[in-house]
Amino acid sequence: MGIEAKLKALLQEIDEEIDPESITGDSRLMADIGMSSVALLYMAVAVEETFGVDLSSYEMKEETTVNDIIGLIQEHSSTEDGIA
Amino acid sequence: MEKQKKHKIFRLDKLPMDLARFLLLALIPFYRIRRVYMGNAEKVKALKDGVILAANHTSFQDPFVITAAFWKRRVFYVVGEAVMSSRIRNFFLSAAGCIRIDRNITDTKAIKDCVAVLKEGFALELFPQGGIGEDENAFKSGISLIASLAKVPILPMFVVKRKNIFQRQTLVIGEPFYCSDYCDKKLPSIQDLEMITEKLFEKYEECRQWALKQN
Repeated sequence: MGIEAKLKALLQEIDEEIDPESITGDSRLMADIGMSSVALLYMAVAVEETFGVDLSSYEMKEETTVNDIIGLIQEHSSTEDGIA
Repeated sequence: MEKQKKHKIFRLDKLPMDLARFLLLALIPFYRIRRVYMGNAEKVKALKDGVILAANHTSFQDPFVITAAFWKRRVFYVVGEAVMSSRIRNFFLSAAGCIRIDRNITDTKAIKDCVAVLKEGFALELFPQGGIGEDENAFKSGISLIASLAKVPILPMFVVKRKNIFQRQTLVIGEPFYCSDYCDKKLPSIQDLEMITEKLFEKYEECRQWALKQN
């Protein structure tokens, strides 16, 4: 399962009202998907547990998209591979 | 062995916190706390491990009231970044058991710190409404998120406002509950957390209504 698919599945687990089919890479987490601040916090914790990415210093904004999160996960993965 | 460690009376790493608790013992005769239990008092007294103390927040005195009421325990507090803005204040407050939260970002570090202290067996004071002046009837679901991640009970309470300093400070204590009492999923959804927060509000409201009837 690719990062995008895993992330969409995670989002659906966190928020039952999310339809993963309707989410695209450009979907904004707050404005389009409708995630609340607590939901974003939950997502950040879940992303850290699933992908090992620490999002605590990343400022979630109204315009933050799914692709932004995927980018952070990929960056973390490539950094880890680089170290390895 | 782990269980014995967290209940040790003396812990070198918690010495600053214990010094702060010792100084705050002076609050006990000042408040003369009167505890009113809405449910089974023994159930509350049996809470020796991690627990979230959820109370209303209408005055700067509320954390001190909770400290005085639970003086036998080491209690951690979540404090806004504005209060812990300077390095010196940050140093002392952190040592005394304050966890800094920055509401402007997705502060997962604060959440992780909260979960860590709860898993260690300490109590954590959280005000579900947020800060002073925020809507007392609008509880935020972050408290349920932390309780669910740490798998600890939430103890709802109501701090009654004193008419004057000569009156005893009343603390109405509700029935503790676990998130798993209402949702047994491994990963509760945000809707589940909101439902648990509503249950917390119902129990808190019971405490508040009791207090209002006395006045």
